[in-house]
Amino acid sequence: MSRCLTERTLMLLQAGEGSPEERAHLRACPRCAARHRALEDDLGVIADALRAGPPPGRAHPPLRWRAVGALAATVVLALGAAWLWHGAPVAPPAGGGDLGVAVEDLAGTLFATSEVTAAGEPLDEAASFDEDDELALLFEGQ
Amino acid sequence: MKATASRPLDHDALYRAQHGRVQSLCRLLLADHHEAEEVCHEVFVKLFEQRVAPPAPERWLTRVAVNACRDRRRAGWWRRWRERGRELVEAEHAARGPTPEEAALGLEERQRVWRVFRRLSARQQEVFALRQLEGWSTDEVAETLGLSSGSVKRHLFRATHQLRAVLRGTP
Repeated sequence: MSRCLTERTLMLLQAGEGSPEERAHLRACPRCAARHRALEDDLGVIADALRAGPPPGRAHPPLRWRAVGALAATVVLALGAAWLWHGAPVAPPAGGGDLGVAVEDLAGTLFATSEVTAAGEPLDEAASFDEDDELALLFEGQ
Repeated sequence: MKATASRPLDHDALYRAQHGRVQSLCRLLLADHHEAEEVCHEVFVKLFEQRVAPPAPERWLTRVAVNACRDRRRAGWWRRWRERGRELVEAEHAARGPTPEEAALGLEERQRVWRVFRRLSARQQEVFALRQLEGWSTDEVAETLGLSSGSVKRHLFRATHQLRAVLRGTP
């Protein structure tokens, strides 16, 4: 084997694995031997750092940013929901009177659902009519 | 004959022999002294609930500790974030002096290593801890974590590559 070893192979050899040919190359090649020693030194430093424990006060920067991201996403969702709930009916839609038709449809559907439920139909239909359905109907005509 | 299956468990001896190792492993995987102590306590409570010795108590403890740390990381990130300042305050009032390892290492270098270690995936952290710090073989790590040997090698290679990069200033 004349080609120098890859970083991956050096790590395998450091872990006690690798083929006899790779081990023979490591013994014969000064350059690969130096790289192997550097790898062992680095792993020693890393192991000592990790064994010494986490440094004070800076253990979780990724978690902090994740929490900030989650908070920002929540605010955006809350603002979006507020806009949909309060802002959308105030802004006149492009279709003009379509919103009125949609509201009439919504009221009719609500009324019909109540009747059906009162008439003894299974309650699942009434129960499944939630806010998402209401919003979908509201925007159906736009 | 399965003598080990019915062997009574010497809880005290196992606790004395393994507590430090398990606590270090938990501290490594959680990066929080208090949570590591809690999880370590949970692990040994589970051990005390065992009436007979598991086939390989050390590996059993390690597997339970790794799983408990993983559960804790999934469930408690918001609590750790909320209490993130506590560790700093308590560290300032800590009475113990630096260990030889701490004295030999610059604090900045330790912070950089830990920062990169925390960015590794949970699997990479577990593989690196068991393989490089605990000194387990690839096959032992694979069996304990339920991975193939190839996956263990891949995780180990990526973790080592990233950790070395930070030492050499090319993260």
